[in-house]
Amino acid sequence: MTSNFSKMVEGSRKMVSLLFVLSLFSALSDAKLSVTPTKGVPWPMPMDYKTTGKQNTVDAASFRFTTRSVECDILLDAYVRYREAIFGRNADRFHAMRQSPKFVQMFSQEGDIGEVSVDVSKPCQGSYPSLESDESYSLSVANGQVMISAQEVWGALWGLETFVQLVYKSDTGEYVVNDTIISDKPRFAHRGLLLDTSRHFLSTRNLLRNLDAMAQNKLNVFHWHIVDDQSFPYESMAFPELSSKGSYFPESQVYTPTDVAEVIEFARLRGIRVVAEFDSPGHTQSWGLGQKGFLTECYSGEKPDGSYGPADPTLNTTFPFLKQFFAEVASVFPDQYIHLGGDEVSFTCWQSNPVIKDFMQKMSYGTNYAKLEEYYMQNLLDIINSLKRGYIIWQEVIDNGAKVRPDTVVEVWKGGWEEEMEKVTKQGYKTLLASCWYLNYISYGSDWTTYYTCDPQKFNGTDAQKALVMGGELTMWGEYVDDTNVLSRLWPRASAVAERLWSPQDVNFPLVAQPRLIEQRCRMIRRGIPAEPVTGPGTCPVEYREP
Amino acid sequence: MNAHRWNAVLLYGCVSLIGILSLGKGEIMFIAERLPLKGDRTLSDVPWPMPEKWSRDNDTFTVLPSSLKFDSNTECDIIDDAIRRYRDVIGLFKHDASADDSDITKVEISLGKGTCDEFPYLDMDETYTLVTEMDKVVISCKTVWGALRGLETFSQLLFEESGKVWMRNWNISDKPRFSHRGFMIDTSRHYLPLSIIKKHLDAMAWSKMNVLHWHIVDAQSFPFVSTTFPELSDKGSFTPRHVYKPEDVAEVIGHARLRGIRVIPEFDTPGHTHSWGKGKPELLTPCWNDGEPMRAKYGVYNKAENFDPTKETTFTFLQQLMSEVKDVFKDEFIHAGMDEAHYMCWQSSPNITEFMEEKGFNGSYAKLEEYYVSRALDVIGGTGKNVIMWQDPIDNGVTVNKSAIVEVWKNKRSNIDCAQNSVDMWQEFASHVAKSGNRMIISSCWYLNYLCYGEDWRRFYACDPHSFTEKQSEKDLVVGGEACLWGEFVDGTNFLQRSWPRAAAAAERLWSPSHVTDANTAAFRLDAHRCRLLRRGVPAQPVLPGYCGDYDYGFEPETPSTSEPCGTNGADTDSVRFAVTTKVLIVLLSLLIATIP
Repeated sequence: MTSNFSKMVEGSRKMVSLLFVLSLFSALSDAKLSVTPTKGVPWPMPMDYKTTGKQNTVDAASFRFTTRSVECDILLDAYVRYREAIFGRNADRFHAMRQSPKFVQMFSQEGDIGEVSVDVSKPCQGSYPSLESDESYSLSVANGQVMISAQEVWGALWGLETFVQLVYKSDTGEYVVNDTIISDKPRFAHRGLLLDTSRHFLSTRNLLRNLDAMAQNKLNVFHWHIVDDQSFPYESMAFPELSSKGSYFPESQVYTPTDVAEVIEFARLRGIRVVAEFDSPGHTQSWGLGQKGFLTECYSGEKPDGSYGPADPTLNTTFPFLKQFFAEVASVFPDQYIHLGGDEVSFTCWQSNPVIKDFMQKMSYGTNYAKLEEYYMQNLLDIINSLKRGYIIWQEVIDNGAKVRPDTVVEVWKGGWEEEMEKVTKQGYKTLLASCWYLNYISYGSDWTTYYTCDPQKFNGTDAQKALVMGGELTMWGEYVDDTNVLSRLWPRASAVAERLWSPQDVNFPLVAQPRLIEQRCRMIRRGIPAEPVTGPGTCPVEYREP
Repeated sequence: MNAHRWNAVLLYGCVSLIGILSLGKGEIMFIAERLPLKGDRTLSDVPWPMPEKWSRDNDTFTVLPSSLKFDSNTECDIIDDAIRRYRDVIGLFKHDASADDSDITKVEISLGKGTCDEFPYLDMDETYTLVTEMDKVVISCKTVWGALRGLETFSQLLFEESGKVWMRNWNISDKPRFSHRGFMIDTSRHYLPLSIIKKHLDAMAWSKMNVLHWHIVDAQSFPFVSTTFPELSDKGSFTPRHVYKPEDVAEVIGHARLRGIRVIPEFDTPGHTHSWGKGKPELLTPCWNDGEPMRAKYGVYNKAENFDPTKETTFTFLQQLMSEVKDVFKDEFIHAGMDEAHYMCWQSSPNITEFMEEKGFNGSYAKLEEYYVSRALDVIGGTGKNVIMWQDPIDNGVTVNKSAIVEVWKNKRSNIDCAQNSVDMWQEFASHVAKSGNRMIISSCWYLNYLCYGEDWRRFYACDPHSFTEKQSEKDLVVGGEACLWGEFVDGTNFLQRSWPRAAAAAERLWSPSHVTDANTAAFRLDAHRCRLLRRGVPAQPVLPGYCGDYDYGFEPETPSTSEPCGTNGADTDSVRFAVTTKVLIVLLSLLIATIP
């Protein structure tokens, strides 16, 4: 912090909030019709945010990012992105201009921001984000000096994102940034977004656009529910028939190894983890098309009726197949965690199958098919364990009493989540909340406020239990969503969740957030994301156009 | 049937059987395994909306889109443009253009009267027949509007299979059940770009809807550029870029006309007029609070709202504006709004009270509303146009001229009631309007802005506009219906997705015979239709899990680079302007210096 900051008229976050409320009400009483958006206020709200009205103009011609200490691929890529985020495509032209040293000498101007200086302590070349990433950063803007410092590159990325969000257009049309001091870190380490590419295929291009949108909201986990009953678009190198037979359309509706690698790399450069989910033993109809003998044959009386149920745990081929398959998954997806699903296993088919019945007897399970499910999961968990990977599972696995690794993350998705999270954390497991944030369930109007006000630590439990809450995930299950509407349906509704998972607990008043959310939506539109209107009538300075 | 066709049937019979299963290239699936789809998938190749009478057999004929001839016995720009468009549409089918022959070589359009109408109108004749004959398809109709509907149907009969385009042997005789099949767009709560409106008109034509009800202004913004009163949009639009200039409006009307779609503007008064007051403050009634005028009462009324019916200048203004509007918009109808003229502001005003005493209204604000309505309708009537208005004046006991068409929009079912067993409750309103003898448009059950999770199109599909009465004379009052997508939560980012294919459910209800009601079977056709819309460039959202054959939205043209997040959405112009500061000349100069060795 420079001494100049002592001259700042400091406003705490709460004072800023109060100003929002006042401006909101004045807007309402004047027109009753629309809310005035904020200018240059970040989303999600930083932990500690002080700003004054003192403006610094951005000097487009000389503007550049510079690395103070550790340089790496992630930073260099971010500089290109963020330059474009501020200036648009013409950034390239300005870049060419400022190659001339004479130019820089002549036109760098006192007080204007010509440089954003980034200081990262730890080496970052080629690194991947993880659950343990240090995402904290500090950012200061004063007298034309901008400084971002962070322990790890992940914090620096978020600092850059925040900086870009501080830039706004002044009344005279110049790009300006107010004097600002920010010290920021996320409230939760796992801030996820689930996309389902089985019910409908989503093009790789849209997955990448969504990663951009996630980064704009500091979400850091792409939970890729890549396969399910309806289709198997993941192209496996070891078992190509899974997708050639199980995808909707093998020519165009599959994710090739190149596509998957592209998604992972694109995410890495934005500080986003890619956690793949291969859900079993239920939700596996499409697996059966390419992997004969994997699913349980359902019987009608004495004979198989031609339909199939969950994976068949009794066959001696099942677990060797899974072992080979997940070994591939572990080599393709670098994240420490694999999501194993384990939800909604229907017992009807298992109950009809005589071989399964015999097996149940042999194992002395009686008619308790939850035991058989546990048997399956246990074997699968052991396989993943042997691959030295951690796992995330849906809550049913724990509910059914399977023994899991101590570092397992349990994702809670059902109603009554408060009791469930209390239970799960009591057993000492890390947990994630999804129940509140099923964004595929749409309803009329500003439903973001309900997402915004759900707090994942609001359950009965000790501080130690609360500390086991790693964060949460919003889900966009794919029954009614495809490339046509996935982005507009997600954004900016998902932004509400993003702020809940990043910002301090007391940043939780929708009326206060609304003017900032409007700014965030318009900012996303300007950056190419078709974020839909969620706060009622109004407009953005730049309207969305199909790319 | 000639020998060649027999060959085709023999050679490709097997292939085309598979084809029949995937004709529409829509492949919806179950939500959950235990919930298999009901209904008859084999009807998925029948056009949407379902024709009044149709039959087909299993004969299949090849069609070569690139060399298909379209012949018309009538010189008409509407036909010529339609032929051009449908050539493009059927050209989307993947086929080997170098193939040297096909069974069907010609589409013959035969107009009975041989006239070329200028603009579509209420009760225009949209009847047509379509038959497959020897080597051609014959579309017979009485007007160009019937020809347009017939061409659309023809385009929906084609399908691709094994590198060729096919059609089966069809015999169709078709006409709409209702004459007015509308879609209301709201460009005040959010602005809709022209490109979106035009794409929307395309989708409407592909679903045989024929009225664009353009709710062009409202309280939130006034994007319509009036040449008589430019200050209305100068001050009332969101920004100077969020406007519809005369040439924009003409473009919409022209685009619609060529597709047989009427454009009816709505200038909603006396309520919903906040944005008018920005350019013309004198139009609005000053509201009183604490004994003073121009004082808002939070949550009750604004500083000023509702047109001021006490001033003659209000009606003079309306007269001037309407005489402009009547020339700009070609349809015989103008929608005059008249909904939700809340009385509270009027009630607060001593001026209004005084005026009411003078007029002998005896404290009845309905009388005041009636006064406004009848004066305003006279103004519109004076321009030679007919009026459509929302039901509210009728509800309030206002006597309304019989020539006006009343649009029923209220629904006693809660907007957010998504329970499966909940039913629309608008029928009593329609009965009430019927008692007054006015013709009506039903829109209560097609408020597309209200969302429910899942297959909410089924609700729209289930609504019958005649369900309020058993009397034929009352049924005859219904000229049709409108799907309404109010703009509070819709703009260019999601307008088309939210409209389609949900609006298509209403489109079929308004076109097809009343007995076509099986939603389970319709689901397959609707899915095929949504895939058709996708193929033609409209981002219609999914109906159920599944896919659209080998094509899904965004597959073509090849994807642009994702490394340009600011891309094409206008950011460049902003940054250009940003660069053009005082420094720009020096910058250019310095560049010159830098490049000169």
